[in-house]
Amino acid sequence: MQVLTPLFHVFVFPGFLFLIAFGLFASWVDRKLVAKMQNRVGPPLIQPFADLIKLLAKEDIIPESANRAMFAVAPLVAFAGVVASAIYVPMWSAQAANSFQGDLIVVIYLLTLPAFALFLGGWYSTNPFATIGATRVLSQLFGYEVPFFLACLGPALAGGSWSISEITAAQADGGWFIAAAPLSFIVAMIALIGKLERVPFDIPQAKTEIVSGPEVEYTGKRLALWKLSFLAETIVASALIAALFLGGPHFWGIPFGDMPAWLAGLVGLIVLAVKILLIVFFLSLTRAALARIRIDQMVEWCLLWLGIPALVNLGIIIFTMS
Amino acid sequence: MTASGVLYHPVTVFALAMFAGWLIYLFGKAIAPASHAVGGKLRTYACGEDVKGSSFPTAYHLFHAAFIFTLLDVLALVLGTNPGQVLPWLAGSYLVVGLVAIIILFKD
Amino acid sequence: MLNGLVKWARGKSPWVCHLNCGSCNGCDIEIVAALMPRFDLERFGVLLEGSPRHADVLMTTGPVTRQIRDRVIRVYDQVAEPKFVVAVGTCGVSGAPFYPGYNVLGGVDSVIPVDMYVPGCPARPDAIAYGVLKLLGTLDPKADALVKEIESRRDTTGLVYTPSEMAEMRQANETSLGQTAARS
Repeated sequence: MQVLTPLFHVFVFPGFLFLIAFGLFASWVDRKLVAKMQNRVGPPLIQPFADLIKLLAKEDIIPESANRAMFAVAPLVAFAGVVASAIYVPMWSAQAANSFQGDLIVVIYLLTLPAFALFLGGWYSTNPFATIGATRVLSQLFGYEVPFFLACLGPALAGGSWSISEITAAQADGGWFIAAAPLSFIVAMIALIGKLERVPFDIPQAKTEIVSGPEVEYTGKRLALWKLSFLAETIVASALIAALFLGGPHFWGIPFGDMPAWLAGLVGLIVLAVKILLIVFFLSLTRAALARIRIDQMVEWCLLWLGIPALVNLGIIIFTMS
Repeated sequence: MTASGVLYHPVTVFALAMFAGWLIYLFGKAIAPASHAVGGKLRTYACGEDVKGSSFPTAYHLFHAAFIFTLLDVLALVLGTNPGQVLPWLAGSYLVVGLVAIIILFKD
Repeated sequence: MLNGLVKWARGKSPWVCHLNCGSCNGCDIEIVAALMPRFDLERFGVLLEGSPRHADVLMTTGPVTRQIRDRVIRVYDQVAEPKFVVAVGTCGVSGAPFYPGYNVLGGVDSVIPVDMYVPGCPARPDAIAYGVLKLLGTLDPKADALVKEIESRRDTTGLVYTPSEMAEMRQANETSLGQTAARS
């Protein structure tokens, strides 16, 4: 049992299989919402799954000028970083699969891994488009990473803990930290768009100017793993924001204490899934409504208009708490 | 350390997750057609042009931004190292330093 | 069973990459029109990809010029297997009216194998959509049923040609040309 439970957590729920399944579903929700916003029919529910299988069943090409090892391992590292971070984010109750003091920092840095892996993969494929894309990945990282970190500090200070599970548990009485840190929440949501490289911050991919950025040379299963990494990151990062600001699985009027453990877990998972889908809705809305901006605009705007509000909100929290 | 403690360690979890990703690779390898290098298939893609694959120099605002990144990342870590009993005036002065740094760097 | 799954997935999710081989941009604009909300090719799983490395279907427009010949071959090589080519527009089908020009080699099939021909100057967006769907019909029986349904509802003669139909037509053309030459 002692060995099986962790393996179950990594490979089935809330890790590997769950992230893939829910990630594909969230991707369908996103595509369908954007289609509806554009007055289209949109793809069927099974579409993301078909895309995944088709990509896996395509020929795998490694360009001769690319660094074989880096090219092959980069998507694996990105995917592994996201799946590993899911273990420490509460998914069905205030308690995650595992938690320790400082897991918030571990999760934030694990969620940064896809960006670094994307940079390395793009850089070592030595393609002109991929190289430009890779530089943009890093430049963009400078823009959103610090505001995201500072925004996540807000709930950590308000909850007085460095563990995501404890921060979530501190909101169990209904006092969500979105009330204590509203600016941090807005900053985290906007930084999330940059983290997932979605419109208007899809500058590294920029299909209309640099083909598809760092992923240009990727085909088949490696491209599938890139897509999966970012789908899974959508889920984990949304769950992280929900856990930090929106009380995780908590919702007013649902008596988790009175239910048997399995029912409480199920209801908690459903509540959290709804919150994640609401965040996905926000992401689709920005995708349908906005256009891509330039990289220098993005970095300056993010540091100024995300960095300063996050710092101000931190200052308010620090001085009201003491 | 118990068995589950070892298995829940971030490094172990990362290794297991990497193994899970490798399973996807295996599955892909099982159902994909074998790769044959025909013609220019393995050449760098550049709209059909012949380019030598090489790393290109970066002349971006990269270092400008990298500097602020380092500054703020350290700032964030310093702020966060002890959230329970952080000294308000110390944290406050760090905040002011961070704000001043951003304003100076973006003054023009 | 795994083979069936893969076959189904391929028929469900064709990612398209657009390649201009010397077109006048008329057909390119019609391809963009086909991807617009009015026709909404995404409901069949069609996505426009920038990189041919990601694509399954290469949509070529225009006759193949001498200048672009090597590039077309290179880009076609760089698409990962299994791959398909749809030649859009009359120029892509035969090179006409530029064909025996000093810089034009003919249709796209003079350089790379073509799986579906969509004639027209420019090809209509619904014809392009129908061509892609018909190509999917050769992979996936469900898409084939959809093609049959469309054919039962409206007249689709001459909208698209499969390679075998095209070969037949060319054969017939050559024969009739030969007869004309013999008579005069």
